[in-house]
Amino acid sequence: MIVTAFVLLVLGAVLLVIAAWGVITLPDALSRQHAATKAGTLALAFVCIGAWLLEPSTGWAWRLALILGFLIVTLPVASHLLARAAVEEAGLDDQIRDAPLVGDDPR
Amino acid sequence: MSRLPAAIGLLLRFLRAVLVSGVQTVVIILKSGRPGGTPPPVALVRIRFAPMSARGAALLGSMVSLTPGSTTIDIDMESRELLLHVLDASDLDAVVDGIRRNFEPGLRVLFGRELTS
Amino acid sequence: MTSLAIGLLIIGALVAAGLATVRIIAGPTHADRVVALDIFLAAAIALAVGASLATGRTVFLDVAIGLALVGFVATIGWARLVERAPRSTPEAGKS
Repeated sequence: MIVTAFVLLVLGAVLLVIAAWGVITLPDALSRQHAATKAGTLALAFVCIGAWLLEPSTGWAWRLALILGFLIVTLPVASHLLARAAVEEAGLDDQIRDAPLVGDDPR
Repeated sequence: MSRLPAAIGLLLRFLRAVLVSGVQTVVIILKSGRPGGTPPPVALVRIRFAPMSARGAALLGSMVSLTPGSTTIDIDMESRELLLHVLDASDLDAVVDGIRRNFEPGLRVLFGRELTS
Repeated sequence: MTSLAIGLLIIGALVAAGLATVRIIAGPTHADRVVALDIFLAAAIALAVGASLATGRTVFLDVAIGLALVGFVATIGWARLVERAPRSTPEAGKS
Protein backbone atom coordinates (compact mmCIF):
# COMPACT_ATOMS: atom_id res chain seq x y z
CA MET A 1 0.00 0.00 0.00
CA ILE A 2 2.72 2.41 1.04
CA VAL A 3 4.71 1.46 -2.05
CA THR A 4 1.74 2.15 -4.35
CA ALA A 5 1.18 5.50 -2.64
CA PHE A 6 4.88 6.31 -3.05
CA VAL A 7 4.81 5.43 -6.75
CA LEU A 8 1.63 7.46 -7.34
CA LEU A 9 2.92 10.54 -5.51
CA VAL A 10 6.26 10.50 -7.34
CA LEU A 11 4.51 9.82 -10.66
CA GLY A 12 2.25 12.80 -10.00
CA ALA A 13 5.24 15.03 -9.24
CA VAL A 14 7.06 13.87 -12.40
CA LEU A 15 3.94 14.40 -14.52
CA LEU A 16 3.53 17.90 -13.11
CA VAL A 17 7.11 18.76 -14.07
CA ILE A 18 6.60 17.26 -17.55
CA ALA A 19 3.42 19.32 -17.96
CA ALA A 20 5.30 22.49 -17.02
CA TRP A 21 8.13 21.45 -19.37
CA GLY A 22 5.52 21.08 -22.12
CA VAL A 23 4.30 24.61 -21.46
CA ILE A 24 7.88 25.78 -22.03
CA THR A 25 8.69 23.76 -25.15
CA LEU A 26 5.50 23.35 -27.18
CA PRO A 27 5.26 25.83 -30.04
CA ASP A 28 1.95 27.72 -29.62
CA ALA A 29 -0.70 28.58 -27.05
CA LEU A 30 -3.20 25.94 -28.17
CA SER A 31 -0.62 23.15 -27.95
CA ARG A 32 0.65 24.41 -24.61
CA GLN A 33 -2.88 24.34 -23.32
CA HIS A 34 -2.98 20.57 -23.91
CA ALA A 35 0.05 20.12 -21.68
CA ALA A 36 -1.09 22.49 -18.95
CA THR A 37 -4.71 21.55 -18.43
CA LYS A 38 -4.74 17.82 -19.18
CA ALA A 39 -1.35 16.62 -18.03
CA GLY A 40 -1.61 18.90 -15.00
CA THR A 41 -4.97 17.48 -14.00
CA LEU A 42 -3.79 13.91 -14.58
CA ALA A 43 -0.82 14.64 -12.32
CA LEU A 44 -3.12 15.98 -9.61
CA ALA A 45 -5.30 12.87 -9.94
CA PHE A 46 -2.27 10.70 -9.23
CA VAL A 47 -1.24 12.92 -6.31
CA CYS A 48 -4.72 12.84 -4.77
CA ILE A 49 -5.07 9.05 -5.11
CA GLY A 50 -1.59 8.60 -3.64
CA ALA A 51 -2.43 10.90 -0.72
CA TRP A 52 -5.63 8.96 -0.14
CA LEU A 53 -3.68 5.70 0.01
CA LEU A 54 -1.38 7.22 2.62
CA GLU A 55 -4.21 8.59 4.78
CA PRO A 56 -7.25 6.38 4.16
CA SER A 57 -9.64 8.07 6.59
CA THR A 58 -13.02 9.53 5.66
CA GLY A 59 -12.04 13.11 6.40
CA TRP A 60 -9.22 12.85 3.90
CA ALA A 61 -11.14 10.81 1.38
CA TRP A 62 -14.02 13.20 0.80
CA ARG A 63 -11.79 16.25 0.72
CA LEU A 64 -9.48 14.67 -1.87
CA ALA A 65 -12.50 13.49 -3.86
CA LEU A 66 -13.90 17.02 -3.73
CA ILE A 67 -10.63 18.48 -5.06
CA LEU A 68 -10.59 16.01 -7.94
CA GLY A 69 -14.31 16.45 -8.59
CA PHE A 70 -14.07 20.24 -8.79
CA LEU A 71 -11.04 20.01 -11.09
CA ILE A 72 -12.68 17.51 -13.44
CA VAL A 73 -15.98 19.42 -13.60
CA THR A 74 -14.42 22.83 -14.15
CA LEU A 75 -11.57 21.86 -16.47
CA PRO A 76 -13.59 21.38 -19.69
CA VAL A 77 -15.30 24.75 -19.27
CA ALA A 78 -12.05 26.59 -18.61
CA SER A 79 -10.26 24.70 -21.38
CA HIS A 80 -13.04 25.45 -23.87
CA LEU A 81 -13.05 29.19 -23.14
CA LEU A 82 -9.26 29.31 -23.10
CA ALA A 83 -9.07 27.54 -26.48
CA ARG A 84 -11.53 30.00 -27.98
CA ALA A 85 -9.61 32.95 -26.57
CA ALA A 86 -6.35 31.52 -27.92
CA VAL A 87 -7.88 31.03 -31.37
CA GLU A 88 -9.23 34.58 -31.29
CA GLU A 89 -5.91 36.04 -30.21
CA ALA A 90 -3.80 34.07 -32.70
CA GLY A 91 -6.15 35.09 -35.52
CA LEU A 92 -6.86 31.52 -36.62
CA ASP A 93 -10.38 32.26 -37.88
CA ASP A 94 -9.49 31.28 -41.44
CA GLN A 95 -8.06 27.96 -40.35
CA ILE A 96 -11.19 27.31 -38.32
CA ARG A 97 -13.38 27.96 -41.33
CA ASP A 98 -11.27 25.68 -43.52
CA ALA A 99 -10.88 22.92 -40.94
CA PRO A 100 -11.34 19.61 -42.76
CA LEU A 101 -14.02 17.14 -41.79
CA VAL A 102 -12.32 13.88 -40.85
CA GLY A 103 -13.76 10.45 -40.32
CA ASP A 104 -16.87 8.98 -41.84
CA ASP A 105 -20.41 9.73 -40.70
CA PRO A 106 -21.58 7.79 -37.69
CA ARG A 107 -24.19 5.25 -38.56
CA MET B 1 -33.15 -0.49 -18.46
CA SER B 2 -29.63 -0.68 -19.81
CA ARG B 3 -28.78 2.87 -18.81
CA LEU B 4 -26.73 2.07 -15.72
CA PRO B 5 -24.41 -0.47 -17.40
CA ALA B 6 -23.99 1.98 -20.27
CA ALA B 7 -23.01 4.77 -17.87
CA ILE B 8 -20.53 2.55 -16.03
CA GLY B 9 -19.05 1.28 -19.28
CA LEU B 10 -18.73 4.84 -20.53
CA LEU B 11 -16.95 5.89 -17.34
CA LEU B 12 -14.48 2.99 -17.53
CA ARG B 13 -13.73 3.56 -21.21
CA PHE B 14 -13.29 7.26 -20.48
CA LEU B 15 -10.81 6.59 -17.66
CA ARG B 16 -8.85 4.22 -19.89
CA ALA B 17 -8.80 6.79 -22.70
CA VAL B 18 -7.53 9.45 -20.29
CA LEU B 19 -4.68 7.22 -19.12
CA VAL B 20 -3.68 6.00 -22.59
CA SER B 21 -3.70 9.39 -24.25
CA GLY B 22 -2.08 10.92 -21.18
CA VAL B 23 0.92 8.69 -21.77
CA GLN B 24 0.89 9.64 -25.47
CA THR B 25 0.81 13.35 -24.61
CA VAL B 26 3.75 12.94 -22.24
CA VAL B 27 5.70 11.18 -25.01
CA ILE B 28 4.90 14.04 -27.40
CA ILE B 29 6.03 16.65 -24.88
CA LEU B 30 9.29 14.82 -24.19
CA LYS B 31 9.96 14.32 -27.91
CA SER B 32 9.30 17.96 -28.69
CA GLY B 33 11.40 19.13 -25.72
CA ARG B 34 14.56 17.25 -26.62
CA PRO B 35 17.25 19.34 -28.25
CA GLY B 36 16.67 18.94 -31.97
CA GLY B 37 13.27 17.42 -31.32
CA THR B 38 10.38 18.15 -33.62
CA PRO B 39 7.24 19.95 -32.44
CA PRO B 40 4.09 17.86 -32.90
CA PRO B 41 2.04 18.26 -36.10
CA VAL B 42 -1.03 20.03 -34.73
CA ALA B 43 -4.31 20.24 -36.63
CA LEU B 44 -7.75 21.81 -36.43
CA VAL B 45 -10.36 19.33 -37.59
CA ARG B 46 -14.11 18.81 -37.57
CA ILE B 47 -15.64 15.54 -36.53
CA ARG B 48 -19.27 14.64 -37.04
CA PHE B 49 -20.92 13.04 -34.04
CA ALA B 50 -23.89 10.72 -33.70
CA PRO B 51 -27.34 12.25 -33.24
CA MET B 52 -27.87 13.07 -29.56
CA SER B 53 -29.37 15.74 -27.36
CA ALA B 54 -27.62 19.00 -26.55
CA ARG B 55 -26.75 17.68 -23.10
CA GLY B 56 -25.15 14.58 -24.61
CA ALA B 57 -23.17 16.71 -27.05
CA ALA B 58 -21.94 18.93 -24.20
CA LEU B 59 -20.86 15.84 -22.28
CA LEU B 60 -19.11 14.48 -25.37
CA GLY B 61 -17.30 17.78 -25.83
CA SER B 62 -16.24 17.81 -22.18
CA MET B 63 -14.97 14.24 -22.37
CA VAL B 64 -12.99 15.02 -25.50
CA SER B 65 -11.54 18.06 -23.73
CA LEU B 66 -10.60 16.01 -20.68
CA THR B 67 -8.85 13.41 -22.81
CA PRO B 68 -5.27 14.60 -23.28
CA GLY B 69 -4.32 15.38 -26.86
CA SER B 70 -7.61 16.84 -28.05
CA THR B 71 -9.52 19.98 -27.09
CA THR B 72 -13.03 20.94 -28.08
CA ILE B 73 -13.07 24.46 -29.46
CA ASP B 74 -16.65 24.56 -30.67
CA ILE B 75 -19.76 22.41 -30.90
CA ASP B 76 -22.08 22.92 -33.85
CA MET B 77 -25.46 21.38 -33.08
CA GLU B 78 -26.91 22.31 -36.49
CA SER B 79 -24.55 20.18 -38.54
CA ARG B 80 -23.62 17.94 -35.58
CA GLU B 81 -19.94 18.81 -35.84
CA LEU B 82 -17.28 19.04 -33.19
CA LEU B 83 -14.41 21.45 -33.88
CA LEU B 84 -11.29 19.96 -32.33
CA HIS B 85 -7.69 20.96 -31.84
CA VAL B 86 -5.56 17.82 -32.03
CA LEU B 87 -2.06 17.83 -30.57
CA ASP B 88 -0.73 14.84 -32.53
CA ALA B 89 -2.22 14.95 -36.01
CA SER B 90 0.04 12.26 -37.46
CA ASP B 91 -2.71 9.70 -36.88
CA LEU B 92 -6.02 11.53 -37.15
CA ASP B 93 -7.95 8.35 -37.89
CA ALA B 94 -6.95 6.94 -34.52
CA VAL B 95 -8.28 10.06 -32.78
CA VAL B 96 -11.61 9.84 -34.59
CA ASP B 97 -11.73 6.12 -34.03
CA GLY B 98 -11.08 6.57 -30.32
CA ILE B 99 -13.95 9.05 -29.95
CA ARG B 100 -16.27 6.81 -31.97
CA ARG B 101 -15.44 3.65 -30.11
CA ASN B 102 -14.99 4.94 -26.57
CA PHE B 103 -17.54 7.70 -26.08
CA GLU B 104 -20.29 7.55 -28.65
CA PRO B 105 -21.92 4.14 -27.94
CA GLY B 106 -22.49 4.92 -24.26
CA LEU B 107 -23.61 8.48 -24.92
CA ARG B 108 -26.06 7.28 -27.55
CA VAL B 109 -27.69 4.95 -25.06
CA LEU B 110 -27.88 7.73 -22.47
CA PHE B 111 -28.66 10.77 -24.60
CA GLY B 112 -29.29 9.53 -28.12
CA ARG B 113 -32.09 10.91 -30.27
CA GLU B 114 -34.11 12.90 -27.84
CA LEU B 115 -36.72 15.31 -29.09
CA THR B 116 -34.50 18.31 -28.46
CA SER B 117 -31.81 17.13 -30.88
CA MET C 1 9.81 6.48 2.52
CA THR C 2 6.71 8.58 3.02
CA SER C 3 8.65 11.73 3.75
CA LEU C 4 10.81 11.09 0.68
CA ALA C 5 7.67 10.91 -1.49
CA ILE C 6 6.32 14.12 0.05
CA GLY C 7 9.68 15.80 -0.47
CA LEU C 8 9.78 14.76 -4.11
CA LEU C 9 6.20 15.95 -4.59
CA ILE C 10 7.02 19.37 -3.13
CA ILE C 11 10.21 19.67 -5.19
CA GLY C 12 8.28 18.69 -8.34
CA ALA C 13 5.59 21.26 -7.65
CA LEU C 14 8.20 23.97 -7.06
CA VAL C 15 10.06 23.11 -10.28
CA ALA C 16 6.77 23.19 -12.19
CA ALA C 17 5.95 26.59 -10.68
CA GLY C 18 9.40 27.84 -11.71
CA LEU C 19 8.95 26.67 -15.30
CA ALA C 20 5.50 28.26 -15.41
CA THR C 21 7.03 31.53 -14.21
CA VAL C 22 9.43 31.44 -17.16
CA ARG C 23 6.46 31.08 -19.53
CA ILE C 24 4.51 33.85 -17.81
CA ILE C 25 7.45 36.23 -18.24
CA ALA C 26 8.22 35.13 -21.81
CA GLY C 27 4.65 35.28 -23.10
CA PRO C 28 4.38 36.03 -26.00
CA THR C 29 0.57 36.15 -26.08
CA HIS C 30 -1.84 36.57 -23.19
CA ALA C 31 -3.24 33.09 -23.82
CA ASP C 32 0.21 31.64 -23.10
CA ARG C 33 0.25 33.38 -19.74
CA VAL C 34 -3.19 32.09 -18.81
CA VAL C 35 -2.07 28.58 -19.74
CA ALA C 36 0.97 28.97 -17.50
CA LEU C 37 -1.39 30.11 -14.76
CA ASP C 38 -3.08 26.71 -15.02
CA ILE C 39 0.24 25.04 -14.22
CA PHE C 40 0.61 27.41 -11.28
CA LEU C 41 -2.79 26.32 -10.03
CA ALA C 42 -1.90 22.63 -10.36
CA ALA C 43 1.40 23.23 -8.55
CA ALA C 44 -0.37 25.13 -5.78
CA ILE C 45 -2.87 22.32 -5.24
CA ALA C 46 -0.05 19.75 -5.23
CA LEU C 47 1.79 21.87 -2.66
CA ALA C 48 -1.32 22.08 -0.48
CA VAL C 49 -1.78 18.30 -0.63
CA GLY C 50 1.91 17.85 0.16
CA ALA C 51 1.63 20.23 3.11
CA SER C 52 -1.32 18.38 4.57
CA LEU C 53 0.48 15.05 4.09
CA ALA C 54 3.57 16.43 5.83
CA THR C 55 1.67 17.85 8.81
CA GLY C 56 -1.14 15.30 8.92
CA ARG C 57 -3.74 18.08 9.14
CA THR C 58 -6.67 18.41 6.77
CA VAL C 59 -6.89 22.22 6.84
CA PHE C 60 -4.50 22.42 3.92
CA LEU C 61 -6.81 20.17 1.92
CA ASP C 62 -9.56 22.73 2.45
CA VAL C 63 -7.20 25.30 0.98
CA ALA C 64 -6.72 23.01 -2.02
CA ILE C 65 -10.51 22.68 -2.44
CA GLY C 66 -10.81 26.45 -2.49
CA LEU C 67 -7.99 26.70 -5.02
CA ALA C 68 -9.59 24.11 -7.30
CA LEU C 69 -12.71 26.28 -7.44
CA VAL C 70 -11.15 29.74 -7.62
CA GLY C 71 -8.50 28.85 -10.21
CA PHE C 72 -11.23 27.94 -12.65
CA VAL C 73 -12.97 31.28 -12.14
CA ALA C 74 -9.68 33.10 -12.70
CA THR C 75 -9.02 31.22 -15.95
CA ILE C 76 -12.50 31.98 -17.27
CA GLY C 77 -12.26 35.64 -16.35
CA TRP C 78 -8.93 36.03 -18.06
CA ALA C 79 -10.08 34.09 -21.11
CA ARG C 80 -13.07 36.43 -21.48
CA LEU C 81 -10.81 39.43 -21.15
CA VAL C 82 -8.41 38.11 -23.81
CA GLU C 83 -11.32 37.35 -26.10
CA ARG C 84 -12.68 40.87 -25.84
CA ALA C 85 -9.39 42.73 -26.03
CA PRO C 86 -8.72 44.51 -29.31
CA ARG C 87 -6.47 42.44 -31.52
CA SER C 88 -2.92 43.68 -31.75
CA THR C 89 -2.31 42.49 -35.31
CA PRO C 90 -3.57 44.96 -37.90
CA GLU C 91 -6.20 42.73 -39.46
CA ALA C 92 -9.33 43.86 -41.21
CA GLY C 93 -12.91 43.25 -40.35
CA LYS C 94 -13.97 40.76 -37.74
CA SER C 95 -15.02 42.20 -34.40
